[in-house]
Amino acid sequence: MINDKQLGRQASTPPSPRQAQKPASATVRVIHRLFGNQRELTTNLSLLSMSLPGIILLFIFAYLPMLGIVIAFKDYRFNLGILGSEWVGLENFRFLFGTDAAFRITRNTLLMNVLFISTTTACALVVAILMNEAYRSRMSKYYQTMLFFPYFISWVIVSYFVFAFLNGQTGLINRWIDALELDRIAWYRSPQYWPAILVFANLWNGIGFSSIIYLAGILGISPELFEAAKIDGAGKLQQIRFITLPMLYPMIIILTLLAIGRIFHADFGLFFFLPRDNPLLYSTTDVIDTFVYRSLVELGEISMAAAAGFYQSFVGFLLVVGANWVVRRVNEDYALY
Amino acid sequence: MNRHRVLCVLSVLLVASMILTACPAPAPADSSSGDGQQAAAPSPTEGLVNITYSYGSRGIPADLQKVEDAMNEVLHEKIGVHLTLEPIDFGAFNDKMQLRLSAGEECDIIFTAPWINSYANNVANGVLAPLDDLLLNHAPGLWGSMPATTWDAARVNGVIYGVINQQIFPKPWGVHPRKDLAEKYGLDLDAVSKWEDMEPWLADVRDGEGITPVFVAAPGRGLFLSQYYGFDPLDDGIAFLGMKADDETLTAVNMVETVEFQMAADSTKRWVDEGYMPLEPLPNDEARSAFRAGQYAMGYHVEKPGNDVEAQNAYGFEFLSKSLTVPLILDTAGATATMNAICATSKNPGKAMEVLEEFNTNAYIYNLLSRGIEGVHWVWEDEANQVMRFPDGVDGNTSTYNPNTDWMFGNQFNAYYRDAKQVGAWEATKKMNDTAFPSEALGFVVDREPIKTEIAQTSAVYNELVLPIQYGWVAYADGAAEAIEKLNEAGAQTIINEVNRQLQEWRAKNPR
Amino acid sequence: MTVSTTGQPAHLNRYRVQAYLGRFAVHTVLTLVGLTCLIPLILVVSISLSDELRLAKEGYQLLPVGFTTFAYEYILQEPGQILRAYGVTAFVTAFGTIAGLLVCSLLAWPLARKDFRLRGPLSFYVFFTLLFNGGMVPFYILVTRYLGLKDNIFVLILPYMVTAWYVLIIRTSFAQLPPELLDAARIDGAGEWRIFFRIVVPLSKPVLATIGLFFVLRYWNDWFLALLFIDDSSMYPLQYLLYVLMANINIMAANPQTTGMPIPTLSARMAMAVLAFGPALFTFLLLQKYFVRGITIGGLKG
Repeated sequence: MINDKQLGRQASTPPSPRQAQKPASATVRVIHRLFGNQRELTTNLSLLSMSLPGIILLFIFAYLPMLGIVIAFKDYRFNLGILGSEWVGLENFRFLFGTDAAFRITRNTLLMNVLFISTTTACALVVAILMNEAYRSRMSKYYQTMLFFPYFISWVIVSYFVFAFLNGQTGLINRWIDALELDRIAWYRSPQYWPAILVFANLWNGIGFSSIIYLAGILGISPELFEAAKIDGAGKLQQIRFITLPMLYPMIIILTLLAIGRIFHADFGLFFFLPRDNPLLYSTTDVIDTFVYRSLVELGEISMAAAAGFYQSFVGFLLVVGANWVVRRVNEDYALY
Repeated sequence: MNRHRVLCVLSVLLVASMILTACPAPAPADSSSGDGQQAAAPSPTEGLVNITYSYGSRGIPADLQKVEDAMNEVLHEKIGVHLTLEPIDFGAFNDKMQLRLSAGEECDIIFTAPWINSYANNVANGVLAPLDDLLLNHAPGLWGSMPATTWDAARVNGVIYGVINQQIFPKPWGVHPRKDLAEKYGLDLDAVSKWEDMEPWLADVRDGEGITPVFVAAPGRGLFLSQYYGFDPLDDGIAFLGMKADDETLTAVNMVETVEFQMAADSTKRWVDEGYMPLEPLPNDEARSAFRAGQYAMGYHVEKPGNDVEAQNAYGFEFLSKSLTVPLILDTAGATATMNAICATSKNPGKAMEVLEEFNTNAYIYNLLSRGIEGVHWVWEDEANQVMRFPDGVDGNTSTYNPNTDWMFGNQFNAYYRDAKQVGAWEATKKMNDTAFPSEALGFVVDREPIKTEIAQTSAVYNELVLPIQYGWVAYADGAAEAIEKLNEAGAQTIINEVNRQLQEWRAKNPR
Repeated sequence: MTVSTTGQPAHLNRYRVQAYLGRFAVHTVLTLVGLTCLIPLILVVSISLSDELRLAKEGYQLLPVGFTTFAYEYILQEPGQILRAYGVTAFVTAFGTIAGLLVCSLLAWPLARKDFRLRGPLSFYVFFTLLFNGGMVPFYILVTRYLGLKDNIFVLILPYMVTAWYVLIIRTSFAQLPPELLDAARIDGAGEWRIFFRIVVPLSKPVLATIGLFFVLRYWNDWFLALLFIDDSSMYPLQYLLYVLMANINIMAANPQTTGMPIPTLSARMAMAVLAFGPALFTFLLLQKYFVRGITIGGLKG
């Protein structure tokens, strides 16, 4: 890791004379070993003080509740509390793996998320580049606004529209199919179509959100780069390929890494409401989150829900640590940590 | 070196947070979280005991304080209690109550039921106070208002944890066809005794009106309703589990394997195939407005006395109503459908029970809570028959106090009628309760603890493989074998064995 | 745009034509994508203004069928409550966005600095929170019992103020700032705080504007924190109030004891969606000028 190497180098630089003269106490020596010479120390302390509010807030609102993860390994009883409840080892995880649904929900969750990540990234990049091309136009702000609309519409409402399009009796698409004198499609009994439907819905919902990050990235690229390329005779496509995309790599990689960390978590609303919790579609639409909901909605077992959540986080953690390791080997600057 | 530092930081965090959590918690600010409301209220008089009642509500009624004051006027005098009403929006009620209880917050009286703020869950988690002694000593009227067999329904391992609100206990499943269409297509409801008897009329309506006659909302609904087929469902959370209500040997079975389930599934499939029932039902709210718009001809539900009036109110047409469930079965889930309970954390369980006594035996208090103040929120239409109405210029939506949840607060038979047509409905309902055939397992409650993993597993399988059969999407002959096999793989048999063991143990303690 | 005059070499004219076609294609694609996003929104508005009975018979239409404002009247029976909720949401959104942006970027800057010795571990410390959480119950116990924040408006703000995802995006953008600029400032003797506010922030307007927008959306759309921690109905934020109203309508509609009044359900659902996103959209359009400008100014010459 580049910063480690740098740190190593800095740490091995000879101590400044001033520092050597002072009869440094043990603590001071430790501090200097950690942070380097006086100037570096000042810089580091300033930087540390900047990050302090964030560190504290994360500690309180993210790390303290994390102690509650132990609930996943306990038989949590309200009257006994977190500490008083009995340890049960991995018992709470059993329901996730007890049936052959385990394979299916894992496959669906992973597959759909991979599809989501790849399609969203690709389309968001295209849209961002197009928006950048249209940036000086008066229409630009209308495009941006329109792309953001879907983000405001909840999945419940989206599910109404999807039903209006796809249902067997009055659905718009089936009426079009009738007009073309083709065979109707029973969308709600045909699981094979649903990955595509869900990918489309997800894209539709999130494109405004994702593309704007890349648009900000493109607008952050120094215009001189493009000018220079133009002088060298590069066309639009070449500019995109050799300037825009490379400059966006860090952002693409970081967003992908973050998405990989959540790859075992599915968007519950999307997978629950759009297929309308229809058992006939489970083979392609059932994901870990919907499965857990369905298993536990009657039972209300907090411990088992916690176990499922821990499993999702833990696998995501392993995957992202692996992915980060690979990224670091390729280009240390792009790594997450 | 990087990893070491990470570990270092993490362990420091861990230690720090442990120290923090080990510190004694600052006393939760006066437990009852309605501080804000209390401050506005006239301060309770010295010597009164504070009791809080937390229940579900649609919104916070504008005149809540007035009603609370009116109730306290009586309660201060009579039992020395200052009652604080704490309505919680229904949409959040379950989550909020479960969180509060799981966090060990103090409370006095709470609403609990099998279907919301789960009674079984709360009992298993030890957050409800045992009520037997309290009932005897503090609420003799309430205790005497129901037969011992009914009280048994609320017992878990022999102990009562919830006060049952009297309302309709059995489930008289039946049909409510629209009156105009029944007449138009010559439906003789008297001659109808089972689902299948409706079919000729349904076919006529389908052809004559060009509609799908039976109201069903998403995701779907079938004709298999356990009490109609003589089953006691034993535990609403274990969908496939049931026991013939008259089975003296107390043998629970997988209902999917029974001939009754097959009959129901076949009929449902036929209804769907014939276009009596929608194949892809509309979402609930759309389906309801479609019913109002005349797109359906019949619903099937709990046809309790007065249901025709209620259906008319909901959908705007006149309805007929007939129960097809013979005999009516009194089972645990039906009897415990709505309850009020006292928290184990309550400082004054005795006084809380005295409040419940008032809710259930004092018609004045009960109607204050469920209907508001006479002359302000309602007026008499016909006092002799106990029929009330809204004051002029006020309706259910504009009323400043109209919780509309009689069944939540206490003995519903003390409620005033809202419509002259309903007069006598309470007596009829009470008669249904008293004459219903008590299930052999009335009072038995499944202890889910030893089988919770299996319950989670089978409930996922049930949804996936049994529901399509139940909803009439997949023929029984095509899907049942696989469904049963998968249910068993997921632990259905383990559940049945364990429940049968619990049933025998229960019978040993509670001989017939 | 200015179009050329005569006397240009032929190949330049060809470039013009190509550029023109290119621009045409760009606008066509964006318009199509935009319409796909716009139509459902129009449907929402139109259904909210439709008569439910006719809707049930005739299906969804782009224009309202049997125009009525009944759903809005029903929801707005107590306009005071909705207005209050708007106020709460506005405060939470404004305060949360500004404070969150400040804290997140202050945290992101050291993480972008290669000479910050805790960069690695601290990045991990931030990132880790994205993956693991303790679940609802411990969070609830912590906030209500140990922090005593129940029914406190700041409970709607503080938990979201540092969001790992935002911090890491800002960090990535910060890391791409040209180091020469910072060195120059350092030679002038500027301290770290000064460098941050005088150089880093102005140069990073695009990403800060974007993350600011995300903060706005997040605070505006949140109802979960209120569900957990707000009991006092005068402190309900908008989304939570609407969530509760919808749940109440569903319960009412499902409860046949409800008095004879018709209750809008489908149109009410849509009307609530309009009430929820309408003002947000309006603000979005209003602020977009500044938002766009922020991106442009920051993006170019620093």
